[in-house]
Amino acid sequence: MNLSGILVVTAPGRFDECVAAVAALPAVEVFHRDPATHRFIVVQEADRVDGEMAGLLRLKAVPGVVLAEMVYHYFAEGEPQ
Amino acid sequence: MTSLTRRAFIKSSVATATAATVGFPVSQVALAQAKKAEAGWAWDKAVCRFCGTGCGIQVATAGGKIVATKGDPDAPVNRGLNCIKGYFNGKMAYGADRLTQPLMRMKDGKFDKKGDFAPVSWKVAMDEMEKQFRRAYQEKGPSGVSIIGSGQYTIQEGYVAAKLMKAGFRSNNIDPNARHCMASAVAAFMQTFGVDEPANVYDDIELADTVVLWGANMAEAHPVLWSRVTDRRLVAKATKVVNVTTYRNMSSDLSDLEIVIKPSTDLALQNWIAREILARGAMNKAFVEKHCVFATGPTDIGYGMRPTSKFAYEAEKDIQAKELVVTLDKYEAVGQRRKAGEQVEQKSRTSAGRHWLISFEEFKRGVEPYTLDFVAELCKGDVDEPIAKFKEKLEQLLQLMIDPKRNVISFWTMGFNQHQRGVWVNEQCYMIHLLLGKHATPGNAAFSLTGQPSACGTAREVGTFSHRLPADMVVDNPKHRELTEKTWKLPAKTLNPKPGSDIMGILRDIEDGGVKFLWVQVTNPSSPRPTRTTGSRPRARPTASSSWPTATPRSRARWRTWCCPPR
Ligand code: SF4
Repeated sequence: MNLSGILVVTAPGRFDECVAAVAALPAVEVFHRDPATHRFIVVQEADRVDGEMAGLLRLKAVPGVVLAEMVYHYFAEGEPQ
Repeated sequence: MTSLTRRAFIKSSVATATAATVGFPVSQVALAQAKKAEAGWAWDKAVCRFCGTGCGIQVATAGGKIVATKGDPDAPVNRGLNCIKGYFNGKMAYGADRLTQPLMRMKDGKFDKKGDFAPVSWKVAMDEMEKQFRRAYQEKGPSGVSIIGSGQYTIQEGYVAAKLMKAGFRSNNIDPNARHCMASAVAAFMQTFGVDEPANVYDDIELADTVVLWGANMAEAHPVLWSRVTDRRLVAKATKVVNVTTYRNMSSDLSDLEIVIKPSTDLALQNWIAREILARGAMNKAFVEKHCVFATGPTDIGYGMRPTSKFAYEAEKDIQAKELVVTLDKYEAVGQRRKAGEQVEQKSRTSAGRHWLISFEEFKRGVEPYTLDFVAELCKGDVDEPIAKFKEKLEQLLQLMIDPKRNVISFWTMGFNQHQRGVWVNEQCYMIHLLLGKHATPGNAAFSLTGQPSACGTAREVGTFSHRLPADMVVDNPKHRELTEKTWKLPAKTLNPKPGSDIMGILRDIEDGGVKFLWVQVTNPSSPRPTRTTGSRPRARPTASSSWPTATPRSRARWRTWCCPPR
């Protein structure tokens, strides 16, 4: 199991729109939200390294997202590639 | 626990740990649950070595294996964040294609440059390397052997490599990949300040009112530092971000002002800013009088080429011919006070760093032709943008920089350093900040960002450059050699006083037959260069130390390689 804990920051005024767009993406779950600082935390699940990278790029490409960066990498279970 | 509920449990624990790492308020109950998911793990601190940002990370191990990594919330630079490269620090140790033993080109059980890679013992690899080294050294002496090193060395590794070459083999043919990225930044540092280091710290970001990106897409290339710019921009409402760029990129998303220019026209734009600083009385006279002098240098400097075209490729010869004599276009003619179409022989090719003092009045006259009309016409990079709109943006940029109440940071990286005139464009950014007195004070910086983890520490300070000795000393200074000989307990006057070949020189020397032995360490020179032709006709025995099967050992030069142990 590859899980990525990711911080997402949005442009001012676009927080709700970005949370909704990110939540609609497959294999991504939105957890903590802090609208006052335009930040939220998501956990992304991917089978392989390329999936993890493509997943992050997909978050960065969401309109209104100004920053999406990895914080936590969990790969304790299953074969790491 | 079923696998589904376990998955949900771990996901929510990862979310909590992530939130806590970047400073979200998290309840004690949630934290206790996250701790449960990490039961049996040991967390240790480490540093990400992939780039010059220097992020702190934490690594969790269980049963002798890495199971998780996270940004270190206490690390002053990254404050818990990792970029995508740092994120993979743990997992990369287990990559299936990671090299774990020496590989050597073999045919019929023997080393053969035309053979395929086969695993061999360390003894076989080392013996072959020694044999090839001796052959080259006997034939060519110190100039016939070389090391291409790296800003990814640890400081200790770089020091040992420099000492091995300079003290051991009396050869200065060691040069790092850091020359590619930082040579122009270094030359500009030396020419402007006489020391080769930036004058500011990352904490200036939190004090900046204007952040100008000069050809630097920080959102993608320096994401961790960008997160700090982002925070500053979102928290301090008056802070503005300007993206001066040749194309729309991700950094524009946060920017208040995006200025798209044609490549290389930033020099003219900088001259306009300088002109306006003087014209509008925005110069910080007291600062300038106390700390600055005005200087200029030759413009007919051409480009660095081989001293001979004997070994050059056709395309290289074509460029050489064009660059010996340059036909001025109408814009260059204005800058150089000549006529458009005039042919100018590039006489200062070997003395490009020459410079001399000029008066303030001469400086003022120098920037006078760079009017808004002239510069806007030259610089505008988006053909669809109306010229009036572009001029308006330039005026906004100027105001955001010259307003005495605003702290200003300019950031740049390879957009400047690998520019056709990299030294000049670095120097001109210092020029603007110095004219305004906005440099090296809290929140004010002309800030050259670096790309590699140890370009300063290893490459520059411990002497892995062809012209350097440790402790920022240089080989062509007799006093520096004397001190180094004493420190290294060498007989007097044995260090080689002649700078060796730089990295491009070494690669050309291989083709030209001047270098017969090359050891590539912790870098992959076949991959990043604009043309990967070098090495396709080598007369040398290249060797690479690498943890991965990179393009260098795989290149069609059939370079010989072995790996170094995982670290
Ligand atoms: S920004 Fe540089 S030091 Fe920080 S995690 Fe990324 S690669 Fe590593």
